Amino acid sequence: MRLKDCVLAGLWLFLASTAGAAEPLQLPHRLEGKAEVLASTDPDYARADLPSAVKPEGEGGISQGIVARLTQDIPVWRLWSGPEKKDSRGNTNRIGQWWGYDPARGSQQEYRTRFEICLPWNDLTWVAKCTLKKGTVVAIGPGNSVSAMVCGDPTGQEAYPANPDDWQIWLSRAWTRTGADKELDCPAETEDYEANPANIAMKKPAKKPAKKPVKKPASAP
Amino acid sequence: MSDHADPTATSSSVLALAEELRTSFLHKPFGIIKFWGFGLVRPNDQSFELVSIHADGDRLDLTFVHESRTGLAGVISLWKPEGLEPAPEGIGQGLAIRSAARLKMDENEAALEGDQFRIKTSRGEGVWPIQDRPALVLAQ
Repeated sequence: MRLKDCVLAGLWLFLASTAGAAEPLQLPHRLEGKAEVLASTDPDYARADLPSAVKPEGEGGISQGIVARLTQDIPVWRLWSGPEKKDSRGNTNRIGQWWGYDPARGSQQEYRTRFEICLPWNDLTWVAKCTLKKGTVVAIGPGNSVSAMVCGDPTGQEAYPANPDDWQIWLSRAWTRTGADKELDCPAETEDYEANPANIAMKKPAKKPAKKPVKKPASAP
Repeated sequence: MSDHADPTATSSSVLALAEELRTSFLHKPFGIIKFWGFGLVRPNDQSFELVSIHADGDRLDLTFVHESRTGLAGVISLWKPEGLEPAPEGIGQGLAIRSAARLKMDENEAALEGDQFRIKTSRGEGVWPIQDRPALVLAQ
């Protein structure tokens, strides 16, 4: 075998061995310089509980993920259903385990599709902005697809494809990590705003008070 | 809704299942709740744990609370439940109950109809194939 043939054969074997192998995830651009990726051997790795975030196709969560430790404070956002909407056990969904590091933007429906959030799960009507503190260990990754069955749609209409472009943060047991002196620092609920459905970065316009009927001056006798 | 579950299921088998559950799953967290694969909550957004398991005739009541202990308790009821097994691979760590005639949580209710199940929620009603999915999954 000539040298050229050997090189070509070697190159082909290399390409064949790497074809189909998933590229290891890198930190998303927005988190570069603000977080570090943890190896599975890191003592903090298990705190992220990555297996609870990464789910098979159609099952929601993230399709693949990495464990990251923040090296500085970052703002995080969560859309929720507002203070008036409580589940049958009396809890709101303001605090949960799924968060975003991208500022809330676009329309409510665009956000729902980008982050695969089914209608029964969240009204996406209010926006909370909190701070995830330096040192926090989280799972992050691109959003996974959600089937109509997992969406909880009996008619089979609502489903979402995976979205490799918009990543989510999974903060395991967020309610135990929330507080001014903890990893997730959220302002008072009164600091949240009701979003404009057409542009969730903005507050919902206040309703104009109904115009009072102008009283005509009594005509002079 | 018709009932095609094993008619031999008795309160003693439900009692035995309740005891198995108490031993293996009390106070274990779960954020995925499914009736024959049909999702009732956003997977792993919140987390719950079973705090009591009660058998009453052919019905099993699983009482759960939010892991943070805020709010009231909720109940998942299963009629004629049978077969405790691990949650399906890939879904997450947790438990599955293989069969039941009917399940209920809040306003959500599912019932067997041959090899299908009928699900009723506040969004509407539909019939889905079971395809070997367990009646109940509680996983994380």
